[in-house]
Amino acid sequence: MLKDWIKSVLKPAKGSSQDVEKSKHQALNEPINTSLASTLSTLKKRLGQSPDFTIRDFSGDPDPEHTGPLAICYIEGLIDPGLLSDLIESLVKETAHTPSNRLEEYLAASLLKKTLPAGNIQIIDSLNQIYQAVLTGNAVIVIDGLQSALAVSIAGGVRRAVEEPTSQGVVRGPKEGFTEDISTNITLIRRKLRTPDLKFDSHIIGQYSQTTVIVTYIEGIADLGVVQEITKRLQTIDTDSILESGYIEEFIQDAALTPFPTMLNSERPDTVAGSLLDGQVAILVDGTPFALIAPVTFYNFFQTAEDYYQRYDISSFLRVIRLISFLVSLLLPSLFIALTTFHQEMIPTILLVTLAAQREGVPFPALLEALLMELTFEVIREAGVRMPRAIGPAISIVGALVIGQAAVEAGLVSGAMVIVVSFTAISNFVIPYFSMATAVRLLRFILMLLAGTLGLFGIMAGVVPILAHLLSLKSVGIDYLLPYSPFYKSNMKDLIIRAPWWAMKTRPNLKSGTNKKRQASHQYPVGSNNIVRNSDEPEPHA
Amino acid sequence: MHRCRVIAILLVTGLMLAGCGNRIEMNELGITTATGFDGHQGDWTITYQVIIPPAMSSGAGGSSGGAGSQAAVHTFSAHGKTIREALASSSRENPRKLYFAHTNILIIGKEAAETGIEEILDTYYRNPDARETVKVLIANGVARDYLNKLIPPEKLPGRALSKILEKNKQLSSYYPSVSVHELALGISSDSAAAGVPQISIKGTDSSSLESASVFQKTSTSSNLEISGLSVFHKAKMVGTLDQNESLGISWLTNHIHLTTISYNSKDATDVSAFLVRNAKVKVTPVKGALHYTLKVKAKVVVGEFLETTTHEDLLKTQSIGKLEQRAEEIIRSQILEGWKAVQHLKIDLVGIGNKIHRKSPKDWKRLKKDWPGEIANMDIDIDVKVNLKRPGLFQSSFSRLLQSDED
Repeated sequence: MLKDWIKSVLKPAKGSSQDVEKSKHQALNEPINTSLASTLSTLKKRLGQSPDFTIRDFSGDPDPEHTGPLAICYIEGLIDPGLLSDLIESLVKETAHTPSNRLEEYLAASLLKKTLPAGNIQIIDSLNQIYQAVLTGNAVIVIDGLQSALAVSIAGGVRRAVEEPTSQGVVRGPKEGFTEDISTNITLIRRKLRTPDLKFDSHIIGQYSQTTVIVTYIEGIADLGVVQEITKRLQTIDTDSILESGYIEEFIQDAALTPFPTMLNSERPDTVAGSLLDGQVAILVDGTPFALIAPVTFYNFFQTAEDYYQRYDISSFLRVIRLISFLVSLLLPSLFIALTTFHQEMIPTILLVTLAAQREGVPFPALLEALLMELTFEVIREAGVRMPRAIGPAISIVGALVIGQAAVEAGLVSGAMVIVVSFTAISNFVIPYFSMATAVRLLRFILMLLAGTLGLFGIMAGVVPILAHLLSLKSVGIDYLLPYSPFYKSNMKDLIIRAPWWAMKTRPNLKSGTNKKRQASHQYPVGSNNIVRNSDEPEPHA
Repeated sequence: MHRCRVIAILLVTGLMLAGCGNRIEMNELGITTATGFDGHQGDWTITYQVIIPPAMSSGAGGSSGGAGSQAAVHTFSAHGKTIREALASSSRENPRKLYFAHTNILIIGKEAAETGIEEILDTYYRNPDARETVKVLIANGVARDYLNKLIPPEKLPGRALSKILEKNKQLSSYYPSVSVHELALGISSDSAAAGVPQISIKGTDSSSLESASVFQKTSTSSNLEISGLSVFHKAKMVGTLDQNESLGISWLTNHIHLTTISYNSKDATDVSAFLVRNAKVKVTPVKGALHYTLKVKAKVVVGEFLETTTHEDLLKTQSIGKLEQRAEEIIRSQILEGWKAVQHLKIDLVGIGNKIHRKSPKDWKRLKKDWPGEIANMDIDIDVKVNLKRPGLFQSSFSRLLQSDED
């Protein structure tokens, strides 16, 4: 029953709305009227007299019926004012010098060939294209008597500058993060990978948002099958809007019913570049600094950009710490409940006595106590994200006092439980990617309930299905637990242990395409033995 | 689909029935740290020493204050025709579920030990909540009297007793530390014998130990101590050995971990102490013309030379050899003392029976009819090799130093 319900919810809704939209599409696809005046009035009507929609027709006549030979229209906030004034200046010059007969054709050709001071000029010939061009930051030049118009890309306007990533920071490494503007983001990736093999395939998704979604990969390194599969999935998306990459992730992920993320999101250009070099594919979405990376495996969620910049020994150690934290964050509260309510014989005597002493006078059973504390923590955490930044310290004081000291002093919870819950919470923050951390947060509650009813047996009854589920998961056709299951020895160098750079000669070959070699072999550092000092040179001063 | 659901429900209910459904919170447990058995078959008195957790950890949350003056344990007794009946009747006076998994020590009263411990062993093996790894002590009297005594500075007397046994085994090896399982193995083997440490109350006014106020004093007029080795034959206790005899048994059973040997010359002018670091004793019964002879081969490494007033020059190999000889003599006499006790009791504490049975089962069939007599007639052949490894950098003794100054 539950399954049927979920299916019905998840099924794409079938109805007439699609057909209606299609007919609308066709209506909009009408050609441009040769009369400039009528075209301009249609445009004005369609764009609803918005104050930011501007038409400049060079006639000097307030009557809309009397127009000049051409008009230029744009939306104020989306274009660069400097470029616009350059454009207008050249237009004015051009119209002054043209003969009055056969004006329109000559004008168009001349403008296209030499005059316009812009890089990207497109000829468009339907009203719909005009709308699109105007709304994506083009100035559209409509010429009287012609059935086509010119779209000049002078996009600009207010953008956030490139700043340090807020959710994925590093101590050592590049400090720039993606912004909301997709062209900036493309530039950031281009600057890291200056190769013609780096491809950007653009898609427009969203009926109303018309969001640019770009699939990025390196030809030769990425598996083309994966690229095609992702493109195919993107093309099937038919929705109103894509406001964030999370929309895309939910539309195209392999398994609909899973708490685990099967795509990784990153706001770091270096992470994306590194993934592309591993043969992964990135999806950039306009309007969000978070790019998607696919296909990913479970272990990708425990690798950070900094792992590759720090020395390999400490990186490997930190990865082990992260995996342990993952397990702690998933299992610690449930293990504590199971041990203290079912398997007291497994706790060393003195520890048991200490724990029992703390529980003396606590009114709730351990399960309820743990659930209360975990829920309180989740509430405080959510409050911490939502509240205005100015009252942040207030929340932390209340949180620390409420969960910590006061609850223990009031005898509502035991001190040990507070330690368990706080350690679990801190461990959760160690997981580098937030999407994986949230998966753990949800599963933790299920495991706690199982542990509270069945003890260690219940934990096993919860962990085994989770493991089975992980084994069945796929990310764009790649097994989630790769390369441990199925086991591939050749892919082991960059997992729990990060091998030194000179040892990683090949890419993880199950994600990548034909070009598997990363670098030349024999790059083991030889040390200072081969430094030959010229004896004529004076010795450096000691 | 429907069948799958039914199977899933059955599986889940199966989980519930698998015996894990016995959830119990920690503050509903009466964690016992020591158990005592008194009486005999048909009339048992069982004593439990239950931990009071808040009194254990000072400054823990919830109830607070005055933790120092409170005794950390409380003792309950219950009677019954059988052990489990006594346990069941203990719920009449104890509000908590008795929990035996953390019991440190099992004290068997003298009367119970002398009349037979079969029933005690049986309950320990039959019930999963009681562990066979619990250490055993025989009380020189009634077990109950030992369980209500405190052992400063430890807060939990049961734990303290088990620590005493452990430390004694590790540091001096006078007495073995025997668990219920080892005891059961010993008395059910061919030798049918086992030695269990015995505990006594030393001094006067032992009732002062029953109050937490002993923690406020610097010394007590009485205390508990291990006083001997109770010897079991089958399920009954038949005698007691003293410390020297017990040490001899420790040598013979290769249970010496670390011990100190003291040498004293006849005129008491020359005193030395050695620390045995490592000892390997091999006991083999060898078939003779009439009787078996016990061949004892001991390889002893004396680690440190602890103290001495010897006048020998310790730089010379000869004098080291002399000291080694002395140590050998002492060890031989210790082994002999143990062996004499065995022969006197005619009880095979060394486990020779097992060895003969394994080596020549035919002989064992013949010997086992009159095994006690056989033990009494057995000869012993002791060979001790001592290796004094580290005489130390401190060469001459002070006695020698001062003497040479006089010259």
